[in-house]
Amino acid sequence: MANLKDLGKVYTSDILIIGGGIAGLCTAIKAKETNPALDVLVVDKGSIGYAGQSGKAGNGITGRLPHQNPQAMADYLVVNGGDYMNDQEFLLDYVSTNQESLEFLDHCGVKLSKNEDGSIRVFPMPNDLWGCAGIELGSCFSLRDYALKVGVRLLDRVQLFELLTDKAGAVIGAIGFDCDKMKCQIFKAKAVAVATDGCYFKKVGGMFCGYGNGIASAYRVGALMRNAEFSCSVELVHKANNEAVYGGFNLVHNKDGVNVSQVYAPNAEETTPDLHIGLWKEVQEGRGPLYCDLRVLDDMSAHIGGMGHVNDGRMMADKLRWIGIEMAKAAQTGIQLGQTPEVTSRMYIQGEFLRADREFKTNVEGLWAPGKISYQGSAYWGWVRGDGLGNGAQCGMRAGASMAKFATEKAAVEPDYEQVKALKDKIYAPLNRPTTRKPKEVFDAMEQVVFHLDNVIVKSEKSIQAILDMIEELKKVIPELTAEDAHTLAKCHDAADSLLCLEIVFRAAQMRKETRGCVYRHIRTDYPERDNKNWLKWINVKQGENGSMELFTEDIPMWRYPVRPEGYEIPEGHAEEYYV
Amino acid sequence: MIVTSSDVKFVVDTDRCCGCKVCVRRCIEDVWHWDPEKNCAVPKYPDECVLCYQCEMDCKNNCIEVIPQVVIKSDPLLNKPQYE
Ligand SMILES: Cc1cc2nc3c(=O)[nH]c(=O)nc-3n(C[C@H](O)[C@H](O)[C@H](O)COP(=O)(O)OP(=O)(O)OC[C@H]3O[C@@H](n4cnc5c(N)ncnc54)[C@H](O)[C@@H]3O)c2cc1C
Ligand code: SF4
Ligand code: SF4
Repeated sequence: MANLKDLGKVYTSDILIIGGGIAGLCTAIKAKETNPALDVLVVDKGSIGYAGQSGKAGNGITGRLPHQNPQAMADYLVVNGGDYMNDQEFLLDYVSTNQESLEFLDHCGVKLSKNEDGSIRVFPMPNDLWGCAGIELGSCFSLRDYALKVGVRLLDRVQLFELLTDKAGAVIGAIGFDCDKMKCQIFKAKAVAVATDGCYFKKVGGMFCGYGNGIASAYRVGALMRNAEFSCSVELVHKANNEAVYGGFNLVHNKDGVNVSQVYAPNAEETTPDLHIGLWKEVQEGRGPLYCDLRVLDDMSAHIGGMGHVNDGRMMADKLRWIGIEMAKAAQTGIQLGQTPEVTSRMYIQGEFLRADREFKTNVEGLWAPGKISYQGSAYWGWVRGDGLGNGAQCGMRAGASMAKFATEKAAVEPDYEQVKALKDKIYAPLNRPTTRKPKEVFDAMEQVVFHLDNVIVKSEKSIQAILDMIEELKKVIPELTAEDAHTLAKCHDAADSLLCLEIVFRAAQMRKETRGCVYRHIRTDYPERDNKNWLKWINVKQGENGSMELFTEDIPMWRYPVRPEGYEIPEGHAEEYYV
Repeated sequence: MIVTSSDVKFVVDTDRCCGCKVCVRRCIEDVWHWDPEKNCAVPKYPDECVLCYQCEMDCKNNCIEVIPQVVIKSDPLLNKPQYE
């Protein structure tokens, strides 16, 4: 009888976690601590500890001070974060456990800012609704060491591309290859998490490591995507090195010395697309170059950037060292960042729309989505500065406990040989094609989309259709991509998965015929108003029966939520459930 | 050895490379590979570099210098509107 071992090296565990950044490691630790009898395996395409965005983050992590009220934070974020697109019940639950996630990291040995009595020191953010603690740049080293100590297994340099399913469609494993010898690796598990981060369309966004493998593999086994149209945003960056000028958004000046931040988005609490549309106007009308005047820090630049807290222990030595290296390297290009650096806008699309519930479980049995991969999709929508790492820890605690319970109760199912063989053939196909096309062609075309403000930040039917047409053309290139080694083979799949994510974003953007959102704003010049009558709805995206993309809307249950737009009326068929 | 792409220039002192392959394992974007013929590590995929400087920081033999080139090749604020 045909044996899986004939197809590749087979690993068996109770829980498989794909991606070993902060979310994957926290999930693994929590699962193992919930039930130490479970065999928990984390697989990463890089080296765990260094891999992922988590290994480069260290400006701070969201927390809460005792006097700060979670309900007030949640209410603020419904209006100023999700613009009513939140799952408000989840959001309140989520922000209520901000501080617990810091304590969990502390328990795992991650270095955090401390008070003299040893408790975690949280610094209030300017609006005093939430706080931010200091965290070491090396949080994943500490988590890796702790994971090993509690008996989690770690496997480096294996990239996974497809999920295995049983006859009922539940996820029971994954398949990919090792990044050195390109040998096929097959994983069997009772519960699987994709903690692979979102999709960032290469480095234009400065957000590395995410090429959409997790989202795309989940989509192919029937997972839902949500809020994908709110994936576009913009950051103020140093023109010298494309790195964020954290919190500098109120201090941008034009060449005449006018503070243009105060013209387009006065006294903002976050960087917004509206500011950047204004900056574009300034430059187009000849009032560039633009610079950020950091000689006198305002509250935002001091708090968000963390530099206002350097002497209080919020910025750890490893992060400051890294910032120092970046500054020195930027100077090598001949540009001094200094205190009045030249600035520009960096558009980015972050595909983080895999739909997940409060336990970060997807709609597919056996599949969880902890970490940034499900930020938009989970719809708690509580992003504030520091919620990248905070989210990783929160998701990990929730997903880990949920997966442990599931895996404890479930019996293992053997993967189907024919399914595994077909997926293996698909993964290795680019090695055997008589063509010469390379994935760079696809990445370069996608990067061009992200460079244009009127593709990413300001949309219209015309611009969206132009991008969807381009995507259709690029989809024809995918079956012709060729590879010669593990690196280029992986890139062929990264290109295909990123392209799928791009299509999801723009198909959802085409469907939403209104303007809505805050930091992740969906702006339609042809539908410039917020439309609360028709669009208090989530757009879901899934792979249809015949493989084509299907979109459908779902009423947001505002009748269950406390914060509602002015004039909101409960639709027919529903009754008031919150204010009873 | 000098390897360049549009974003980055790598200056690698291959004589000093001890073969520890730390750079290969630390790079988050799989830029570094072992070259069995040259018997040293090489930045085989320089286009993928995201300028995190981890390889340079962690090479104990100081073999690696990562020199960023002009990072922003096209300033988005200079782009003309496309859909009038
Ligand atoms: C420069 C920078 C600075 C930041 N600063 C902060 C900050 O100060 N505070 C904050 O809160 N947030 C910050 N963020 C955001 C934060 O780092 C991220 O939101 C967070 O780390 C995401 O964690 P994650 O575990 O979901 O993903 P990641 O840490 O990106 O981990 C995903 C892992 O999955 C692996 N992987 C991907 N695909 C596959 C595959 N197919 N097979 C196997 N493995 C795979 C990757 O190698 C990676 O290790 C920063 C981000 C960047 C880039
Ligand atoms: S880290 Fe330095 S010494 Fe080690 S293999 Fe790389 S270049 Fe050679
Ligand atoms: S700088 Fe970072 S991304 Fe570039 S080669 Fe070195 S480790 Fe890799």
